[in-house]
Amino acid sequence: MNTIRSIGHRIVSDGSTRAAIILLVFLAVWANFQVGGLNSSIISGWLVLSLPLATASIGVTLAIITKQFDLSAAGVITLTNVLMATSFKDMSVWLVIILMLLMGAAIGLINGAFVVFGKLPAIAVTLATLIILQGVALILLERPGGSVDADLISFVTGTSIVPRPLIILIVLVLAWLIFKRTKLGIYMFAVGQDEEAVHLSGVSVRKVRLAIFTIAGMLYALAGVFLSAAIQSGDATIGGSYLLQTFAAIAIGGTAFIGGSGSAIGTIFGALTLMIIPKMLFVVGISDWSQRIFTGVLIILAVLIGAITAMRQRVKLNEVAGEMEQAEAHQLVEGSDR
Amino acid sequence: MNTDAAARRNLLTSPGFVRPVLLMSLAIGVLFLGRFYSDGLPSWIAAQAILTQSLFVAVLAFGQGLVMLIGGLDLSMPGVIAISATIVALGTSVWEWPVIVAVIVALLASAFIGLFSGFLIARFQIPAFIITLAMGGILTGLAIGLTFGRKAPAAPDVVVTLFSGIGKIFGIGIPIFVFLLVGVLGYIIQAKSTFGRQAYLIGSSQPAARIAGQPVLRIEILVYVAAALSSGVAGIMLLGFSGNAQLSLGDEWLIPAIAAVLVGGTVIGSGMGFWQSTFTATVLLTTIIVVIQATGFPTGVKSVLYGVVILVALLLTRPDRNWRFGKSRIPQQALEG
Repeated sequence: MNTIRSIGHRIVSDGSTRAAIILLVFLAVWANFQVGGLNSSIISGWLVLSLPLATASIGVTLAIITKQFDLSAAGVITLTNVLMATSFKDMSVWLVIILMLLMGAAIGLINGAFVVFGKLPAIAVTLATLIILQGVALILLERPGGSVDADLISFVTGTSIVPRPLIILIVLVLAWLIFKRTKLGIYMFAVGQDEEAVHLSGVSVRKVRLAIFTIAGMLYALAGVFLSAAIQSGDATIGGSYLLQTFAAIAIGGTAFIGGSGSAIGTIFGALTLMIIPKMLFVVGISDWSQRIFTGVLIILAVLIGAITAMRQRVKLNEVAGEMEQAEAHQLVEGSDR
Repeated sequence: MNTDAAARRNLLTSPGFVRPVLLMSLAIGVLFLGRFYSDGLPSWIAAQAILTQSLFVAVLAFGQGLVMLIGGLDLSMPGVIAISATIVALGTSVWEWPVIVAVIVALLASAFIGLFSGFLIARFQIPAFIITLAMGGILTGLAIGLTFGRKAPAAPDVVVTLFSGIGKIFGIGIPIFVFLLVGVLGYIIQAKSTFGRQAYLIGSSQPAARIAGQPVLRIEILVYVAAALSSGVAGIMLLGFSGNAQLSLGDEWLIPAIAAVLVGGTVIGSGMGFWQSTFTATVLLTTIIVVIQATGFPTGVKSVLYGVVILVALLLTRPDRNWRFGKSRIPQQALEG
């Protein structure tokens, strides 16, 4: 009885578990209605589309854990895509990827500098970055076109026993599990929970924030690389949908938007869920416009459940704190009586 | 007598007066600078075009400004614009409603959307931009669903006459009169009404507002209702301006609205900002865009420019910056008094 209750409690309170269950349900519906069942090429197609979203959303998750909203992901993704499709044709594609990652890191660092040194709200700064980057991408490539290196396409979308994107996702999960336990990973959570305490313990909050913005920017560029491999050409408007989708993936993934907590694993589940929705609804026979409504409602529900759980926990914490204060006051009174 | 002179001096040096004058002078300056790029500038036609487009930005910036004053960001504006325009266009052309009924239905729908988003945001303390982003997606889906299988429905003639610039009074386009009206109404609501003062109060400090016995939850929700209503109104205006209810009607107006609020000196979530500055900032931004369009730069330049303008505005109006352009003088006045 008790174990069932504790499992039930875990499902309700743990975001990643919630996300995994939603994903499994959707996967089951999709598999059930797909004519001829799911085969590896269908699954691989879904994973290839999910990979860029998952990668970018992990970057945004890191920023949210430190209590910052980063809207620039869509901009970095678009610029990376356009650059990869139009420029550096005579360079090795792997060198170009490194160049793109450095560019992403630099953009992230600039975002971070405005937020940390300029003391500006991240949401406004990164909105500006987003608009600028999208503008630059549009100047570079007015109409969709260009081509992406064949080696890169086959590396990202190919299959070696299991689909390549799945392997990359697993690598991302492992990287997250290691990063969580590094010094920076621990500080990242701490900054989101209690900035003051981190500062008092002698750790530079500024450096942590700058580092996280930089890593996030790099992940957006990596997402842009994966996206280029997925769509195999350049398009200056392709990133637009990522603004909604990154935050949707995070919301469905169960990361609360209050900082100090979050999981890249939940976010990956969220991204996979988002990308399964059109496929699932398509085989069930639901039109494109209902999909948008369905996605929007799902995001709102996911955020709502997350917010209510967070509120409950806060109330509980306050109660505990209140009881402790009362007990202390009681002891003081008893002490003064003696 | 002495206090009268002091009051006048205070008015002339207060940011609520200096900033709009500065922004307006800059706008006129930019318009004349356009002479270097295009022989058609400055001209009365260009000025009319600028003020007409400023109207749409100003209506949206009013709602966006209130939301930003209390620390939020409304990204549902393109969605609300699309749904409101679709309701009016479909209502009059397909369902054969009288125009006034269609307008009222569209505004009621917008208000309800704001009520719903505002409730979720205020009651459950969810970041505004996420709820409004999701809401925008839902509304776009709804608008596609409503027009499904038809081509974009046409605007009723009255709305076209009013907002496309065809209709004129004394040779001046009607949108320009509406623009001035929006300026006055916005000032009355934001600076003078109880609701406006309450919004300032919860913007500067929610706990303080709560202690002062203000209905914080209700005010916050009302701010989102006001924002959605201004998007709804802008939707109807843009419908008249463009002639039919395309889905992308509102897409290009969200960023200018946010930029106008920031250039006007409103500091997000600080309860600091003046409507008259936002209002004049809409003219400045639209002038810059019109001049740039006259020079024939690619579309991407417009986007880059907005981004840079937002960043510069943010830096100039930093709350801890000790410069009068960005600093509220209220604390100093309180000390003097």
